[in-house]
Amino acid sequence: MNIEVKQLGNVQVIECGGSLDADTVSGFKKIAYDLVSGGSTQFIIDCTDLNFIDSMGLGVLISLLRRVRQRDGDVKVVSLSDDVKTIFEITRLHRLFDVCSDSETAVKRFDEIK
Amino acid sequence: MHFQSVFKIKSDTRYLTPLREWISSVQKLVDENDFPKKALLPCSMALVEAVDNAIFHAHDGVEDLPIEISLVLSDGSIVMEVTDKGVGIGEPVIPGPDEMADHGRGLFIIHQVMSKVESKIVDGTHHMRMEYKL
Repeated sequence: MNIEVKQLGNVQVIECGGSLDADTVSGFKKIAYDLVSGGSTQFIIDCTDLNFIDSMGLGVLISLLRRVRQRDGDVKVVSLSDDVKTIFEITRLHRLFDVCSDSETAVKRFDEIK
Repeated sequence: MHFQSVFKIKSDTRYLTPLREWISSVQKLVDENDFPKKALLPCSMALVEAVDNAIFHAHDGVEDLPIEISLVLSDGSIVMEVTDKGVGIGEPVIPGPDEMADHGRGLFIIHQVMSKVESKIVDGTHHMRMEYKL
């Protein structure tokens, strides 16, 4: 799995490529939790290059969401492929996360809250 | 029967991506009527969740314990079976796990995407049979 982190203002954008599954979840978790420990509360998960996610990958996204919502933050998910969008719908996580078309839209949504 | 494949892997998450690549290759190899493209994602999801379950719950991360995987394509169905040394699985939480729970979705996913799921113990070995009806 490829993970890159970019910062857009106060928003951390985590770009995920490949598969977020039981094999790769620990790498994602460390990066995300380190950012939370450093004070970040606004996250965008850019799924442009993400082709699969399993229940453990979904679990770590929910865990991140729970942590940042406790601090009035949020996790927005953007650019879902058809397959990953279907997985979100089957598991109903599209109702839990704010799913946006792209990072630009997600940043605007964060700005609207200010 | 139009296609059958059986093999064993170690209890290691490194096999997850190759497993998805393997099932994708089978889908491309066989006739579209035997394995339609629309069945690929559900079958991939169920297979990964069943193997996750075998690795973490049945085998508790003991890498040397083998997991046997079989795929049979026959008239009207795709049947996958994952065999491990565990004691079986419980019933999934219906209508699903608490939405903020960060675990407990694997079995729910399998039941959501497959037509029929059976879990049984035969001679001390746990068999999870997952059928996708075409």
